[in-house]
Amino acid sequence: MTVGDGLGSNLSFWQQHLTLVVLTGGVFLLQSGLIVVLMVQNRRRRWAERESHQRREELSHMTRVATMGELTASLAHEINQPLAAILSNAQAAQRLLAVEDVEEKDLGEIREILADIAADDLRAGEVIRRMRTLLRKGESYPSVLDMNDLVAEVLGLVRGEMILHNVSLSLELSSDPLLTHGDRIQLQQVLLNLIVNALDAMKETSGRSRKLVIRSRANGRTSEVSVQNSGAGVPADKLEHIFEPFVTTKAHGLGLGLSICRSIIQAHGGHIGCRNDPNRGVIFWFTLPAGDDLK
Amino acid sequence: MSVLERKVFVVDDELSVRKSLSRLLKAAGFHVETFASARDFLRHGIEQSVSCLVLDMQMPELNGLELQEALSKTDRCLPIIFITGHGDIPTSVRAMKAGATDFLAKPFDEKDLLNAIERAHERSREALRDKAEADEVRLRLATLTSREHEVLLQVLTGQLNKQIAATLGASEKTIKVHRGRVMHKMQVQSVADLVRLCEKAGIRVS
Repeated sequence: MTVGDGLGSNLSFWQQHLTLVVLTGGVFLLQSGLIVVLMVQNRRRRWAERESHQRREELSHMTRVATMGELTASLAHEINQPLAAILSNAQAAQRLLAVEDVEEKDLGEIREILADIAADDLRAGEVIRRMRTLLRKGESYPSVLDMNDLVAEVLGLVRGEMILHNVSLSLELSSDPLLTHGDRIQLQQVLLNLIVNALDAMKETSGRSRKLVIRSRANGRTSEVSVQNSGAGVPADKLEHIFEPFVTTKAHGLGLGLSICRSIIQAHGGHIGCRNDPNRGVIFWFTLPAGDDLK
Repeated sequence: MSVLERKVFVVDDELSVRKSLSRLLKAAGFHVETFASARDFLRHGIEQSVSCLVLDMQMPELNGLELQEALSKTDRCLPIIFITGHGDIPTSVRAMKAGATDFLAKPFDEKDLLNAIERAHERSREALRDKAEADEVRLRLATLTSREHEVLLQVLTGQLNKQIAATLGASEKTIKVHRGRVMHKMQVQSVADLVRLCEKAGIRVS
């Protein structure tokens, strides 16, 4: 028996296992500390993500507002047109009713006038509704959409702009509905941006040859939409970076529109790109997961 | 005034605007013809009657200003009232400078449109009267012999018989006879009337 052994047997539990206890306690404390730190970090990251999402929303809203600002003349045209028809129709009806005995033939005419007034009023209201939808700020609600409907809705806002700048439009849309799942406002913004860019690109083009082509088709498991202008085209070195922020070919452009388009399309699980057409102009296209893949 | 003398042409690419304007103007007693494009209107051709054109500024293909330019190249005077959904100042200035009688921003009140049409018809009536007079003067001028025509041109410069005789190498008496025939055929009493008449036919003497 050694001295040590004799001493050892006299040592208390604490004396015997002190190191182990301290070590275990330390590890335990460290672990708790780590968990707290991770939780705080996680919360911060989530907060930062929410913040960046909000910033992105604000930025895309701002560019929407700016784009709509460029379209004021077109929007005024789209609303003034039905307003003019409504006023002339109403005043024509007043004249027809001004005589003592209104003839049956005139009553029929007045019925038609009232139907036209109602239709024109709905048309003007529709323009304002679309405009407000795009100007609205706030949460997005994904839903099942037909891309061809979206094209028609956006064209309703820029039609006046095309007439004003003598641009002829050619539509080559898929005959079947082109379904996808996404945020209506955001996808409208992408289309609006691409179309307004295309119109801008043709400002220097001589009057007769300004042509806008919008195509849509189902391509395997994706829906593809493209917008082609007949402008001068984009230099190859610019083309590569055109979707990056602050890259622009316009004299007064901020260079944010296309970068926002890209982030919207990517958030929808799609792709966006562009290429110069060997014949004329530039084609901007984007694809989105097709409707068949939707759950 | 007969219906034919109150004619309004409407050119607008928008069906609802064409329909409503046609109804309003018919109810106001005009004879209305509508066209969906500038090309359709040019194809139609314009007859000689008191008329005016209510023309949309912004149309696809040929726009309002281009139609105005095309019409100005014909000898027909057709007063134009522009209507526009944009109403921007530079285009309206260009249109007015090119001779448009009025410029109305959509939507416009019938009062403004009818007043504008009234003015345009007045201008059209004057133009037709001037043209009829000019045609009449040209008919009279056509009855002159070539010698009488030479004398006429000299008279218009304000020369006396003696001077004309020297220029044309004839006797003063012969010139006097020619001059008398010119005055008779042109149906005027004085040189002043003759000058005024010839101006209407586009004969100007510096």
